[in-house]
Amino acid sequence: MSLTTIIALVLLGLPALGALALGLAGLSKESWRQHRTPFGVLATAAVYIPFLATLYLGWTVLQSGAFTVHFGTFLEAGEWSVDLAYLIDPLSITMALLITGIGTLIHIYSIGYMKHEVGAWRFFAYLNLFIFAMLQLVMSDNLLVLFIGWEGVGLASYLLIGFWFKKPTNTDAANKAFIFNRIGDFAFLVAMFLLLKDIGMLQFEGILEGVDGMSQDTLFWVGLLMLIGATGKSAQFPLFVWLPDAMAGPTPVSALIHAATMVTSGLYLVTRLSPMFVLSPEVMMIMAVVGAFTAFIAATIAITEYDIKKVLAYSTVSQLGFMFLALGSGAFVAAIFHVVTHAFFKALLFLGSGSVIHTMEHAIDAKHGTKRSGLQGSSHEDEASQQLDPQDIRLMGGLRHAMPTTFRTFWIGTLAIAGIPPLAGFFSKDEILMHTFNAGMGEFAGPLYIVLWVLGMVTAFMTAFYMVRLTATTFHGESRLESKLPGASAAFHESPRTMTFPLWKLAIGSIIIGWIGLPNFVVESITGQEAHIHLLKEWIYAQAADIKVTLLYLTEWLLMGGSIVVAFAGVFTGWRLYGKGQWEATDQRLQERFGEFYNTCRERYLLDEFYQRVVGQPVQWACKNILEPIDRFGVGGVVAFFGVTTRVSGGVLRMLQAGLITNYAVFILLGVLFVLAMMILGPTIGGAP
Amino acid sequence: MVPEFILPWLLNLSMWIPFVGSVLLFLCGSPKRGRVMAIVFSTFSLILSIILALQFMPTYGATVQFASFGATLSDTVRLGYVVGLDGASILLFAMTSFIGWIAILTAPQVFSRTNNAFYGLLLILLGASLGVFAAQDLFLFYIFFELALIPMAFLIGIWGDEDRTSATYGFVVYTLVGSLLMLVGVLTVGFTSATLIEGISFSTHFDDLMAAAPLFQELPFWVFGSFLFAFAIKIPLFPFHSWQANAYAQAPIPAVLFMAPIMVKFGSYALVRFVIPYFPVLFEAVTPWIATLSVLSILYGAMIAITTTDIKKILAFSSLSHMGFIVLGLVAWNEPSIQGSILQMVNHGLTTAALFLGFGYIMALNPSRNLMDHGGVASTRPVVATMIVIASMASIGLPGLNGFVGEFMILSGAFNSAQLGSTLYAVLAAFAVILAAMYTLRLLKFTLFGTPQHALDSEVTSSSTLPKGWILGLFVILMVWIGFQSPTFTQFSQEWTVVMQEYVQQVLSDFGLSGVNPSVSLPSN
Repeated sequence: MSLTTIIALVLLGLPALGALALGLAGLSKESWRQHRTPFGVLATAAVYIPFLATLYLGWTVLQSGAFTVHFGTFLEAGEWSVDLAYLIDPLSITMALLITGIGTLIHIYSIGYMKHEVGAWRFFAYLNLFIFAMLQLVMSDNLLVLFIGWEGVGLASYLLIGFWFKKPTNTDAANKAFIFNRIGDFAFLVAMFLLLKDIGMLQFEGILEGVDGMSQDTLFWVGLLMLIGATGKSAQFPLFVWLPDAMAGPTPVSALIHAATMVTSGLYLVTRLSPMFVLSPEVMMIMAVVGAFTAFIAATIAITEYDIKKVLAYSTVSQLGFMFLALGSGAFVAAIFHVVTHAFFKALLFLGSGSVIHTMEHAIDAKHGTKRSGLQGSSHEDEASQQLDPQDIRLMGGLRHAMPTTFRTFWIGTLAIAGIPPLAGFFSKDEILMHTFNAGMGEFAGPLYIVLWVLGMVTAFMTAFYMVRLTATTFHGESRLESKLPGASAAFHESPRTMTFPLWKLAIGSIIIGWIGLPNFVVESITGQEAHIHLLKEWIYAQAADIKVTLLYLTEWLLMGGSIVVAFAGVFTGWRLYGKGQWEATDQRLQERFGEFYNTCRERYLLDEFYQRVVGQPVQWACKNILEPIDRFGVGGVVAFFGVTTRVSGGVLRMLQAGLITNYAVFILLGVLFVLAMMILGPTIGGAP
Repeated sequence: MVPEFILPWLLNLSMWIPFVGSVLLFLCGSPKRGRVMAIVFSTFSLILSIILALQFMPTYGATVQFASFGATLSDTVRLGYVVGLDGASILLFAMTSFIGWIAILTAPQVFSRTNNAFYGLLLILLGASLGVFAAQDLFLFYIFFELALIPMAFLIGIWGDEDRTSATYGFVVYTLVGSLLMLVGVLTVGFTSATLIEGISFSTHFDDLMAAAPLFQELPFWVFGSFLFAFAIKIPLFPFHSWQANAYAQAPIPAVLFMAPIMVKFGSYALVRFVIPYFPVLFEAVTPWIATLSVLSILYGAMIAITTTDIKKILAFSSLSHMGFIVLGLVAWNEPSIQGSILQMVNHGLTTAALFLGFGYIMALNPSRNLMDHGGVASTRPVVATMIVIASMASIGLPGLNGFVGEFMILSGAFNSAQLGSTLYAVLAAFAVILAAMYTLRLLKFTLFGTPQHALDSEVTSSSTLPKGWILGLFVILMVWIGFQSPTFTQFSQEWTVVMQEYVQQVLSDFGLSGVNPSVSLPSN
C-alpha cells in the first residue's frame, strides 16, 4: 500500500473506528458512560485527523492530479461488479474538507453543549457515524458505494434527531425524516437499475463515458429519478417537510445536517454527474423550477416563524433551493460554491442559536428552581413540562449585552447569508442569479428562466429581511423573558469557550470564504484578458460541466449591482421594521397587509396536513379496513374448516401434555431412524451395491 | 488442512450428531444436564459445519462436494441416502447450524418452560433441517422435509401461547396438504426418470433427475403443480400464508428461531435447487403468475405489518414480504438475481433470527406481544436495543449491512430480466423500501423508545449469565461482514449459478424456447 492509500484509509476509516470505539465503550460498562469530555475529545480527534489527511490528499492532487484508491470488491453479480473504490479528485476533496473541517468545529462545540448529558457517548458515536457516512458519499467512485453513504447519513440523522428518545414527538420527527428520505431513495434505486440495464455499470467514470450512447428517454428518466432522490435528501419541494421537524435533535445536529453535510448530498450527486444532466434540458428545467419555487416558499414561511431553529431550518431549505436553481441553470461550480459558503454561515447561525437556547434554558430553569442536572436523565427532556419554550424568539430580546460573542458572530452570519459584500454569501448568490439570467437568454425555455431569476431576486430580498427580523428580535430591544419571569435575565450568560471558539472560527470563515470565488468578469472587463481569480472554478472545473456564460460585461455589472441593492434593501427594511424589537406590531401589520397569504405561510402551506389527509390516513385506513379483514377472513376460514379436527385432536393433545410427550417423540424418532437405516443398510442386506 | 477423505464423514457427523443428542436427551433423566448436553451437541455440529464451509471449494461450486459414499434401497430402486453440499446449499447449511446453535444456547433466556423433551425436539429440528440442505436425493429431501414438521408441531402445540391449538393445526394441516400432494409428484418424477436408465425402475437421485429433466416437461401439469403448491405454502407466498402469522405468534421463541429463519428456506431452496432447473419449460409458463404473487407478497406483507400490533406478527408479515423478494429473484432467473436470492436466503435468516431473538429478550421480561405494552427499552437495556436497531436496519435494506446487497442484486436482476420481460415487477417491489421503513420504525418507536411502560421492562436481573447483547452482536458482525464484503459469500454460488443457468437454457432451447420469451404456452402432449 502506498502512503496515499494509507492516508485515504485513515480519512475514510477513522470516523467509523471512532463510532465503533465510542459505541463499545458506552455499551460495555455503566461507569464508563458517565464520562463525557473524554468521549468528546476522542470523537473530535476521529474527525480532525481525517481533516489533516484530506489536506494532505488535496496537496497530492494539486501536485500530481486526481487518482482512485481501491479496497477490495463490494459486490459482484456476474455481469457487473462494484469495488469499494474512492475518488480522490478536486470535487471530492472540496466536499471532504468541508465535512471534516466544519465537522471538527461542530464536534468541539458539542463538547461544551453536551456537557451535562448522560448519553454523551451515544451522541458522539452518532456524530462520528454521520461523518463516516458522509465521507463515503462524497468520496465514492460509484453510485452503489455512494448509496452506502446516502442511506448512512439518513440512518445517522434518524438516530441524532431521535436522540432524546423518551419524548415520542422526537421519535416521530426521526421517523418522518427517515421515511421521507426513503421516498427519494426509492427513486435513486430505480435510477441505478436503469443505468445497470442501459450501460451495465455504476462507476461514475463509466457512466460519464457512456452518456453519449444513452437514448434521450433514458437520460430523461435517470435524470428525473435522481432528481427525485436528491429532492428527498436535499429537502426540496415537495419532500422538504421532514427538515423543520428534524429540529427536535440537539443543536449541533442541526448544524451538521443542514450546514455542511447531509442536505448537500443531492447537490453533490448532480454535480458529479453534471455531464449527464446537461444533456437533458428538460430535467435541468424541472430542477431549476423546483429550486426557485422551494427557495421562495421556504422564505415566506421563514418570515412567519417564531422558533429560532425553525427559522434557520426554513432558511436552509430556501438556500438549498438557490443551489438547485444553480444546478438547473447549468451553474454547477456556483452550486458547489454556495454549498461551501452556506456551510460556514449556516453552521455559524445554528451554533449561535444553540448558544442562545442554552442560555435561555438556564435562565428559565434558574427561575423555576429546577436544576437541569444530567444525573436524572437527559436534561433537555424536561422541556415538555416547561411552559416557556426556550427556542421561542418572542421570549427573547435584549440578549446582546449578556452574550457579546454570540451576538457579534450571529450578526456576521446574518449579513453573510443576506448577501452583503464582501461577505461570503454575496459572491455565491450573485453568481447563481447571474447564471439563471444567462440561462434566460438561452434557447431552451428562456422566458421561464427569466421568471425564475425574478423569483430568485425576490427571495434574496426576503432572505435578508427575515434574517434581520430574527437577529433583531433575538438580540435587540428589551428582554421579554424578564416581563414573564422577573429576574430571569440575571441568569443570561455567554457560553463556555468550547462553544465560542467554533463561533469565531466560523465567523471568520463566513467573511473570507467567498473570496475563493471572486467573479472573473470584474477583472476581465477592465483588463480585457481572460482572468483566473475564481479559484474554486479553477480547482473543480474538470468535474463540473458548467454551461458557459455568454452575457455582456455590462449586463453582468448590472446584475451584480442589482444583487447588492436587493441585499441592502432587505437588511434596511428588516432593520426599520424589527430593529427595536417591535416584532409584535410589525407582524400584525404584515398579517393585515397580506391577509390569507400570510396565514397560509404561517400554516406552512398545509403541506403536512396534505400528506396526512391524502397519503397517511388513506393508507392507514386501507390497511386496517381492507387488508386486515382479508387476512383475518383467510385465517378464520382455515380455523373454521379445521375446527372439527381441532376438537377431536384436542383430546390427543391433552394426553400428550399429561407427560406422554417424551415417549411419543421417541417413537417418532425411532420410526424415522428405522426408515433411514433401511435405506442405508438396504444394499448390504439386499446384495451388492 | 483437513484430510480430504474425512470430509464426507464430517458432513454426516454434523447432520447426525443432533439426532444422537436428541435420543440421549429423551433417555437421560436429569433435567439439569439436558441443556448442557443440547448445547454440547449443537456446538459440535456447528464446528463441523464451519470446517466444511472453510473446506468447500467455491471454484467447483457446481459439483456436489463431500459426497463419497451413498446408498440406495436396491439395485433397481435408486432411492436412498446420498448427501453432499454444493454451491446452492453450503451457505444455508452453515447458516442452519449457526442459528440452530443460537436457538438452543439462548432457549432459557427467552423461554422459561424448557425441559429435556423441548431440547430433544429442537435437536431433531436441527438435524432434519441440516438434512434438507444436504440431501442429494429427492426422496431423502422429502423425508427430512417432513421430519422437520413433526417436532415443530409438538413445539407449538405443547409449549405455545394461549391460542396454540389452532396455530398448530393451521401449520400442520397447511403444510401436510402441500407435502402429501408433493409426495405423489416425487413418486411420478421418480418413475419417469428411471425410463432413461436401463435396469432401473425408480430413481430420485438428483443426478438422474437432472439427466431426465427434458422428460418432465411433458408430464401432466399437476406433477409440477404439486411441487409448486407445496413450496408456495412453505415459503409462504401470498395467498398461501394464512398459517404463518399465527404460527409465529404462538410458537415459543426458540421454535420460531427455526421456523422463520430456517424452515421457510426449505421452500425457496427447493425452488432454486430442483423445481426451476428440472421443470424449466413449465416454470417459464407460470413465470408471470409467480412473479405477480411474489410482488403481492412483498407489498401485502409490508402493508399489513404497518397496522399490526402483535410484535411477532409484525415480524411474520415482514418475513412474508422479504421472502417475496427471494422468490422474485428466482423467477427473474439471471445471474445477479439468482445469486442475490441465494445470498438473501442467508441474509433473511440472520436478520429474522436476530430480530426474533432480540424481541424475545424483551418479551421474556414483559410477556405481552402487544407493542403498545412496551417502551423505553433503549434506556433500560441499551445493548439489546442497539443490536435490535442494527438488525432492523439490515432488515429494511440499509446499505453497508447484509440485507441491502441481496435486495439490490435481486431487484437489479429482476429489473433487467428477460424472463420477467417487464421492469414493473422490480419497480413495484422496490416500493417496499418505503413501506419497510414505515413498519419497522413504528415497531422500534413503540418498543425501544419512549418511556418504560411496564415495571418489568426496567428489571435488569436475569437468570442466565450469558450476555444477551453480545450474542446478538455475533449476528451484527455477520451482517456488517456480508454488507461490505459480499463476494466472500456470493463466490460459493457463482459457479453453480452459471452452470445451472446454462443447463436451463439448454433444456429451453431443446424445446424450441429461446428462454427470453415469457409468454409461452404449455407444451401440448
